[in-house]
Amino acid sequence: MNGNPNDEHSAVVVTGIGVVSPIGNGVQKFWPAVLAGISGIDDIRSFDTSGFRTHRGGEVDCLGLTEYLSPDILSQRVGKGSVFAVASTKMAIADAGIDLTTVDPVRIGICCGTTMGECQILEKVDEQFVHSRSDEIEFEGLKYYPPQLIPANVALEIGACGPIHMITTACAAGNYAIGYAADLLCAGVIDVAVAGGVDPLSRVAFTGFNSMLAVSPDMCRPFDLHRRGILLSEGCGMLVLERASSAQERGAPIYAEIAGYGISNDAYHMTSPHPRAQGAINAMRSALREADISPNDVDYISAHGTGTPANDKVETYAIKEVFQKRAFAIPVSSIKSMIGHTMGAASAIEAAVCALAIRYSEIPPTVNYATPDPACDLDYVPNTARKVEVSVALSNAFAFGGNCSALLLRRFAQ
Amino acid sequence: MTRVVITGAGIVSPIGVGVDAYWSQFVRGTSGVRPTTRFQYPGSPESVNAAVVDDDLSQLLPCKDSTWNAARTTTFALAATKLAIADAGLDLATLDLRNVGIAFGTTLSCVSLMSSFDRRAIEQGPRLSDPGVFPDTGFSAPACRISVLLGPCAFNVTLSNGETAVLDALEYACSFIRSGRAHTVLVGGSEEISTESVFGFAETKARHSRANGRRCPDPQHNECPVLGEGAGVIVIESLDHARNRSSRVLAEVLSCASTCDPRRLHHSAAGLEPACLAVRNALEKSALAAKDIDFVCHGTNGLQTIDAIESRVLNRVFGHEQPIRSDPASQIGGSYSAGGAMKLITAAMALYAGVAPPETRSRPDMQASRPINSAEPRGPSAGIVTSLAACGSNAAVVLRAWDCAA
Amino acid sequence: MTSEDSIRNLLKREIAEKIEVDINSIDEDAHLADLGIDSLQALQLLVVIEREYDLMLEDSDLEHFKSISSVATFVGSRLAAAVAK
Repeated sequence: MNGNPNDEHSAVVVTGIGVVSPIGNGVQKFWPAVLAGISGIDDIRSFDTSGFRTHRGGEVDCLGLTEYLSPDILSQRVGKGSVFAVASTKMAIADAGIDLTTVDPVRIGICCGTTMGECQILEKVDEQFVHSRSDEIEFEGLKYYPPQLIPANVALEIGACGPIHMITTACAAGNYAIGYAADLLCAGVIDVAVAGGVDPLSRVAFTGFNSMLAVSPDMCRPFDLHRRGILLSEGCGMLVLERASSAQERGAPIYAEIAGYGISNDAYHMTSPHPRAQGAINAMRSALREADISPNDVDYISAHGTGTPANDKVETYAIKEVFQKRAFAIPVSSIKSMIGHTMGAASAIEAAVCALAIRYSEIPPTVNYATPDPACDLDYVPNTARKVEVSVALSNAFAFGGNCSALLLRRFAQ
Repeated sequence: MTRVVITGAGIVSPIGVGVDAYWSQFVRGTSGVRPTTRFQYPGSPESVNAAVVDDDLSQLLPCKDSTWNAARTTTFALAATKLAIADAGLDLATLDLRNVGIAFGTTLSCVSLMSSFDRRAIEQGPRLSDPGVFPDTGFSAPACRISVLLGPCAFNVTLSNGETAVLDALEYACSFIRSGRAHTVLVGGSEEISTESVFGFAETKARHSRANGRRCPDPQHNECPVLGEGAGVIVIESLDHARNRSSRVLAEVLSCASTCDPRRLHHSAAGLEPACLAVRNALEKSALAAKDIDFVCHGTNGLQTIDAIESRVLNRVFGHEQPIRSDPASQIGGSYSAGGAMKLITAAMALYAGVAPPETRSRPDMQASRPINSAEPRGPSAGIVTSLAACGSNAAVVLRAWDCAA
Repeated sequence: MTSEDSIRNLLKREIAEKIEVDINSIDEDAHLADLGIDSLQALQLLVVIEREYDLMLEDSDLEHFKSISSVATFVGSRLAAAVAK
């Protein structure tokens, strides 16, 4: 990691996980559901899809989420992204069993990632702009729009006064946030980090991806020959990260170590991936190099696996370039097949999946897999979860604008 | 620890495009604030005071492709980046671009384009939405367009941390250079003024307006910030890399620090200590004392309550050793995340030119056609740049003049 | 003018504007990619066709967006089929 390699205590570990997703809120609900291949996809209810090409997506059951927010914050207007983020954070902190009052507030940092932020607030103003009289437009609502309000609300709720960051590298943002949080821990800038990603379902994103014919009409079929695109979704994943020494000092159970990460950019096109997967390959290789892990030691890959014809083909190619023959021996699965594409939350939830896979030695399937594609010829763990000893897991995330990332988690040797 | 230096700068501002044009107007006290009728909707005031960028930037942009569908935020970013690269004497064709990264700060970013995309879909039906517009509506679109068009691919990050975004992006970039992940980073910020920012963002700060029955921001009554727009980009490199190509150095980046005080988010009254700590930490990491700092480029986007907090923070941290205070927003408006880039460039230029920046008041709505106290020319050796965000984040960066470096 | 001719003319006008060339220099049989039209621009052409001719196209119809001629033939046949109904 980006820290002092001579400090054996600079390893950064995951001690708590919080998840908000269309297949369950909290790890206790989410993990069994993702192993069982449960689908969180249904007809979208939160806005009228009748004018759109497609009508399905993933939505979170928000019942009970506001209970995680303090009365102080509930009395203010907060966006749905902040609700998800605060709820996930409190779940993660409870899971980590950490008493944050024992930590110096300026040594607690928050690193968040998102694609659309509190987009629903902007969408409401836009609707009023079109349908309402000009004096009925609630411009005031835009005060709650800037995306950094999400980590700020988290900081307020947990009493953090350290650095707070909102990284807006779209569908790769979760990996960026977790990676940078680990960098800050390694460098000794902070002692505890809450890191992850969040996105509420966005009508603008739904419009945009539909306009690009990138949305599937029915289900998400990563790597399948008949895949037709993504399914938009929403959610949040938050991890509590600490240096290993302090986690061990308080006897915290450790899920896994953040061994390293790599980020790169295709420098090619705003939406199409580089035809030779330059960014994806560089990101994976950088992560492996930084973590000093051989490709032969990777036991599981959580794919970006969006279910678009382009991504899945290019990602398969990239994995084969990096891992060579070993690629065919590594199980690769995409949970987007079950929960859809949660945008900025995706790689954070997928990082949580990797940490859980390492702890419980089981990996989730790629569901809806029926027909192999000759261009996608790896082992995608079709339809059924698999018990596998996972010591090292790699999680890929790629985004518009060519942003590519790879996060490596490793079983922590106590 | 690897030393990091600033070797070039590019700026698109309401008072000039390019650092030389900007700096010469800035030290003269030129204001870019004037009434504009650009931001209207049915029922809105006809004009608002704002500092807009009117220059034709087309000569600076690579080709039509680069502006096709892009928001003004992106256009500013691209132009400022090209200027910075030229100013640094960087020839991208001779560099391994896998060692050149991009770290950008922008928060409202392309909201205007996103909003118009959304409104059109609501009016005409989503099926007729233009797919070519959507990718350019994202927060990270400006930074990504730079990579797509100019090639840097080591990494590309966008931070949407509000007023502190660019200082935070600089800290991020320095950490990547120090860890060997890159040797050169283009660090910058960009924002455009839009109907959303004028009547939403600015409006929401004008609580007094509503209390007095006025719905719209009324800058003449000194109740809300005067908005600005533009972009600033600096080229930072490891000292080794800069030396190897015999590059001129504008200034050295000594340290960065950040904290937050989230009580500021929903309560206008908040403590000073987390903000003081950001400034003190930056000083401590720089190994400089308060008395070594000759000026501070400060300012919080023209938000009066936050300006007041920042002023008290600087009073407390510097005590009897108060440096000259200079707030570019008083002349170029509050440009949100881009303001951090404007301040960094102002500070770097001051150190390079050997002239302290003019002391200015932090009230951007004042007529700023002449500075309050023109600084006597003297060579500053170090300056600090501070940003306090309305949401609570605080950031500070210490720069040192290159000819003062050990 | 046949409907296929008007489709060709529409596409040539759109492409000429996108890639900034003289409309008369555009080869109707050349691959769109060779003309300098990328995947996103091809999607824009599809939306233009939908709007102009009140059609509802699918992602699978993109396989016909290979050249101006192939698009014109495909859209022409869809229009004819719609009239026949």
